[in-house]
Amino acid sequence: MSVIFENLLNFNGQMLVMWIIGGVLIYLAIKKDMEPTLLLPIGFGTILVNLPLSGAVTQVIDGVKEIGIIDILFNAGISNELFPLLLFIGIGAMIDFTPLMTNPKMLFFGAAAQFGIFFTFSLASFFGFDIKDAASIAIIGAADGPTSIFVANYFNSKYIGAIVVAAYSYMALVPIIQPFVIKKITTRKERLIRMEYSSHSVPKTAKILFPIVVTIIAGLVAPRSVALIGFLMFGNLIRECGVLNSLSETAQKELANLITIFLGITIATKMQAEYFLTRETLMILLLGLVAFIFDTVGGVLFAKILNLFIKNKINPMVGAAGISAFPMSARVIHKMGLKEDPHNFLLMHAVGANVAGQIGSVIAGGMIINLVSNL
Amino acid sequence: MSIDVNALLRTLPIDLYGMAGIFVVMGFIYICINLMNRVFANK
Repeated sequence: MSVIFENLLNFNGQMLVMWIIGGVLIYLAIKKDMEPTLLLPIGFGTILVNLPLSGAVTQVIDGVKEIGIIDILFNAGISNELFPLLLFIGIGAMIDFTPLMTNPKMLFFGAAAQFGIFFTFSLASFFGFDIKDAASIAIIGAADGPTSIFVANYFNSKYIGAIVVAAYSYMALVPIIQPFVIKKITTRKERLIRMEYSSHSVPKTAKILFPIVVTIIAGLVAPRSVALIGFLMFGNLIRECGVLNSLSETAQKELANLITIFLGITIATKMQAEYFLTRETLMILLLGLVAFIFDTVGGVLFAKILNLFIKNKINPMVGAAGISAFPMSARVIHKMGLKEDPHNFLLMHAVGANVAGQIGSVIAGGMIINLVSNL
Repeated sequence: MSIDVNALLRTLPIDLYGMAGIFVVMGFIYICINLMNRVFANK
């Protein structure tokens, strides 16, 4: 009988805490619909890897090293950045850049709303994080899970588990974080600004050339971002070329779903108690929140500054949609606009800024890799 | 974990170059979109 229960002796309180954290993630995914595609696998994986002598992760038992399947998946798909990049093909195939190409001014909001990344980078360094860990933490502000995973893994950050949990959790909390911040830094008069939308059609050739042009430009300025932006734009090219509809659908559905399943459960390898239950994890969760808040602040303030110089004023709330959390942020801004004035339709402007944020966040990831690696 | 003002100061140029770099890339993309929209405008 003792053989059956001897593993219980390896159980400790930290494992119980991680089970509770895993349970909370599963609860949030199912009951609160918070990024369920990622939080549910991460939650389950958290329990899986925190069982005593879990065979899912590598263990040394009686001097013999037994490689766990989750570590095999981690080495095969995350440590070489394969999974996040493949996921980008699916994301690229899902995004329609037409609202941005109709109103390319929105690109600059996709740049301004990356401010939180750099603000948090400095803040994390100030609080004593190593510069590469600070860069990895800051990229939570990209509001883009695969970019966070890519950058944190590139810098070999030991905090990748906490970073990914923070990134996906705050993305799910955009409908709470953004309205709160926007209301604090805008007046009602500003929120009532109406914006005309001219829906001229975008030439098909331009739509096809767009992903190629973006890849070349981003690659020339930030060469280390070219894998990220290239895979994103490759997915978009498949979508827009018009001759690969079945590949486009596969990328959007089967590919994205398969990678998401593996990504979530594999990230859990970094959710082992010894990595996760630290004071640094709490700091990372706080810094991630700061990054999201200052992304929103950056986008809104940029719109307010532009309004000082231009005739056709921009509703500053649209600036907040420049974060990458797509399409949630655009919807939040649209709803806020309608709440202030039921006849103010900001959706297309917000979607334009939001897809610009998708590009901006990837370029920001590449920039931070470029700049920090060169130190 | 300790507070490190020097580390903060070391990151400021990265913040500046990073934000500037993103705006530069977006600026080039902006020009290209406008060009493409004009050159390939639907007749």
